[in-house]
Amino acid sequence: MSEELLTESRQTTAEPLVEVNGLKTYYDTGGMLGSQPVKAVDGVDFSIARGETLGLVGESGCGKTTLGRTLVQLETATDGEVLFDGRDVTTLSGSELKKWRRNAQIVFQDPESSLNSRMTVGEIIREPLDVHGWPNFTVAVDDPQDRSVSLSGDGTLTDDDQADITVAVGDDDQTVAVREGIPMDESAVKVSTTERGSSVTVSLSVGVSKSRLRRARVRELLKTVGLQEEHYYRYPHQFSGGQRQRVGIARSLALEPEFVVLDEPVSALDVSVQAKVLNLLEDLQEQFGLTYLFIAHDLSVVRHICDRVAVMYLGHIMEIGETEELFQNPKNPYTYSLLSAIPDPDPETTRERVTLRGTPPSPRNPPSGCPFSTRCPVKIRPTEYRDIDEQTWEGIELLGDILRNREQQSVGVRERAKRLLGLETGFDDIVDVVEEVFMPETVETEQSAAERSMADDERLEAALSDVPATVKTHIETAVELIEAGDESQAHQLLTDEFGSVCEHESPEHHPVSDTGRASYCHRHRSEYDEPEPVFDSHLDHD
Amino acid sequence: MSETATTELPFRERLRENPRPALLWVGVLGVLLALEIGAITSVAVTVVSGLAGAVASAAAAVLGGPVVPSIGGAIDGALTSAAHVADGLPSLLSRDVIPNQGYQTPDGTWHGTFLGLEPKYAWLLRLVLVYAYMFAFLWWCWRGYRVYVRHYRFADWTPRDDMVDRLRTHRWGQFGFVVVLLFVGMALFAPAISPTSADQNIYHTSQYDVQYYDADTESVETIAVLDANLDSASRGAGTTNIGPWQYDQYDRFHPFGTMSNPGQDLFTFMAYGARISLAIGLIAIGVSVVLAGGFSMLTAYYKGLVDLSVVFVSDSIQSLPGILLLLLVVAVFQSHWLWEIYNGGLLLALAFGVVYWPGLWRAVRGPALQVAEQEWVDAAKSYGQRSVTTMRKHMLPYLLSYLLIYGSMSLGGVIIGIAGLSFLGLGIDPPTPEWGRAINTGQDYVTTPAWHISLIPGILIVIVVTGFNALGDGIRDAMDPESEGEDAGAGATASGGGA
Repeated sequence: MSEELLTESRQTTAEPLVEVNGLKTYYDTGGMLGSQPVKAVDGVDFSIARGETLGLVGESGCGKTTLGRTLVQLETATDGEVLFDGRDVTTLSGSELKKWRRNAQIVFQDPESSLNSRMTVGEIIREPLDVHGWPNFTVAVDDPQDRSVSLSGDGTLTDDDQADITVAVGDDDQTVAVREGIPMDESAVKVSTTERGSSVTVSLSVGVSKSRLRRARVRELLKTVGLQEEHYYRYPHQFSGGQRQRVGIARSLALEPEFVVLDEPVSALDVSVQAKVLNLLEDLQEQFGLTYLFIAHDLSVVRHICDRVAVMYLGHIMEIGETEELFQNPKNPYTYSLLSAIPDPDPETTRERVTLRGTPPSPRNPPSGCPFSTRCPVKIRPTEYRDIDEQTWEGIELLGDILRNREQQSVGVRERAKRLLGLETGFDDIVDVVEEVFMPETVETEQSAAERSMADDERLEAALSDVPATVKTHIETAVELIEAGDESQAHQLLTDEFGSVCEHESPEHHPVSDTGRASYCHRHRSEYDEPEPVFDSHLDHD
Repeated sequence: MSETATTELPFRERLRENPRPALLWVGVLGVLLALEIGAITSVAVTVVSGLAGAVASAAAAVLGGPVVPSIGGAIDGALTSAAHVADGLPSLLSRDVIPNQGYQTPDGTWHGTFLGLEPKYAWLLRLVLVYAYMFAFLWWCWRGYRVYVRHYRFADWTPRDDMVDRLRTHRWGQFGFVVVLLFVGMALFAPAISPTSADQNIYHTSQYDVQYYDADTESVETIAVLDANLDSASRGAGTTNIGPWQYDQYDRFHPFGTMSNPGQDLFTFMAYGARISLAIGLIAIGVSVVLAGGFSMLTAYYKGLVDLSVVFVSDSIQSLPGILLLLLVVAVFQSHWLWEIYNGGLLLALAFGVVYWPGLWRAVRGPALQVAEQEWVDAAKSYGQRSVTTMRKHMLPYLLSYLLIYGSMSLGGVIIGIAGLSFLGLGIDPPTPEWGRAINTGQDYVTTPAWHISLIPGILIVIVVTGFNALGDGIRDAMDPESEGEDAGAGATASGGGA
């Protein structure tokens, strides 16, 4: 089957293997003080089709690893559901959960830390098999006369077509088939049947010990991931990073899972080794029909290996869709900015790099409305301010951002006590901040002694000299409020005056192409301009 | 493929394939054991009867009633007969084979000693042979490990190999190891290396006699050990004084001299006292290592409320002065049945265990938290490993080294602590020998010719505690080469229980 046909068949698979609905994972690190939880994953919906590779990209700390860990139940979901083959796995516990874990495995980022260095490679890969008592010897009995079947001896009876041993009952003799995943010869299984009226009893004995089968299975796995059988008795110390990651992959495959979360599997490796491990992962997917969630921050790797990509920011999926299409023509402002950071080898390219301001906000206190609103270069502006110049607008945004950050920080007990006692009124340096925000060039150069000796009022006046009068009055009011110690009021004023739908409402996932791509942005609503032309006009300005 | 076939063999078959080295090793081991079969069985019987006694008295206290004495009697009878059998077995290195007790006739010949040697040399010979035997035995065990590595192990390298290599070049650690071995040997072989037995010289002195040549009557006379001891006691200036390396008037040799009252042999007292110190130290450290290790893994794995409650409990214990708590235990339990076991030794050991675990737990909590954050613990969780197994397989091996280090370092502290209690007149009751009591009884004579009574036990305590600390240092550097130079074990260094 050619590659294209494979892709085709993947898409037509109607039923998704993994379906995530409104998933939230909060870390409550505040403890007993009842502070805000860290909203690592804050309402995520997507699905992964059987045999597909979904890429998950985003900056560090955006929650992609937490999302991956929640999918394999290493973290407890705060809300929402993860449907695996239509069954919600977030509610599983005890033996049910343990049984399910066979189906979903994870490969960790750091091969240094994910392998216990006091165990041999063989023991490491074997451990999952020991935990689950592999092989369980599920037996399917194929009886042409459809009698009621009972089993004695080794194994448990199953109707599953994935049975470890299949016994076909004939008139005189029985034929035995052993599933490919089990390194055992058919001749090792002894079967006899006793018929009693309308029922038949199959007695079965396996002539090989489980522990021998497990060792053989580990050897097979070592070969599968490109290592040698002799490595069984070596320790992780004796391997390179790439080899160790192969051991980690072998361990995750030991239980024959359907779904594997790859948590930045190549980030810790040399570039030369990365390609080899990626090729291995692709080969294994083809060989075993695996479904991958591939978490990465290296966009070129994602483009190489993934069928679809989800872009994550601050616990939300900003855009999700077909890899090539998304990379060629990003719709969401965040995706646009992120992709613009990929160096383009073509010197005649027209696309310019978008530099985002500041760092992502704290997931403990995410911004209201759209999570990207504090840094979005194409944020929707209120109609009356649509025409003011870039620098002023940037200044307003920055000032709002600084106030927002200060609001989060000023919860310290000392700070609060000081304020109660009237010792300190927050910022004494608000004029400096305004100067820096609205006249970055002048601040950078040496300030003259005369300027420094100016009164605050005059300096404020000078800083806001280029700012339109409509904006100026609001800034001045805000400064007054700050000087009076009322920062939250000042922030409120700025948000009310200069804020828009981006701050006030959470966006929705809008479908942005025929292939089902979705983007989480207000700009896809009909009343606003699409992000891309706005980007173009902004970049042209510069 | 043929290589796969050979590596497939389990240990048993590997042995069968190449049995020569193993058989050779087992043969020599058998010979070594046979030399001391009597001593080994008697030690085993002593331990078992000690345990049985503890169980019996515990049962008597808990159940009471007439049932227990009969069972207890049966067990006691069985053990007594076992002890007789054990005594009947020959031991090459025993007082019976190499006797050092005799008398000298005026012509200068010795009677009753080994080959007619002077008691000094007979005793020295036995001492040297016993230690030579012990070191040979340990060396043979080490050889056994080498044989296993060379002939029967699959892995050509394990992380343990590096540790062993590092320990082999660690002189300070080796010094500690040798000191600890000498101490442990003293405790284990106390009956064989002391010039006389504890039963004769300490417990039942009136039931045994010594023979000596009386110059006045010009004949061999007999005197009870009790009276002989009273006559040969060291009481400082102006009276009798049997100092180190001297004979008393009954031709008995005293390597460390005699004690003040009632004049027991100090070396015998020290050797049997080492048993008590070691037993209490090991039980106490064992209890605290188990508690500390268990709690550290539980708190690191589950965190949250479990962690908080253990912090709370350990802080509460640490906020009490340890020595006060021990005094309290001694005072309160003085007439309790628990005090009966081992002359209060077990109770003291448990009390020390309870006092010491919070410190040990604090020391391993950090490493435990670190290990719990490793991804292999998450990996184990991701394929559904049980939490207890995860802790045992994936956390404990990393904590064991720390527990060993801090444990060996605190052991010195326990030994000092017990000596301190005995010095204060508490702790182990007389007549059971205990080093601290030797210091106590000798303190009035420090400035007199009988200085040895206090000084020798004092110096030995210092050397043994230093040895345990040095061993701990050595293990630490072997397990974790990065810590070399840093003083990771400073917190656990023997703080002496405050006494």
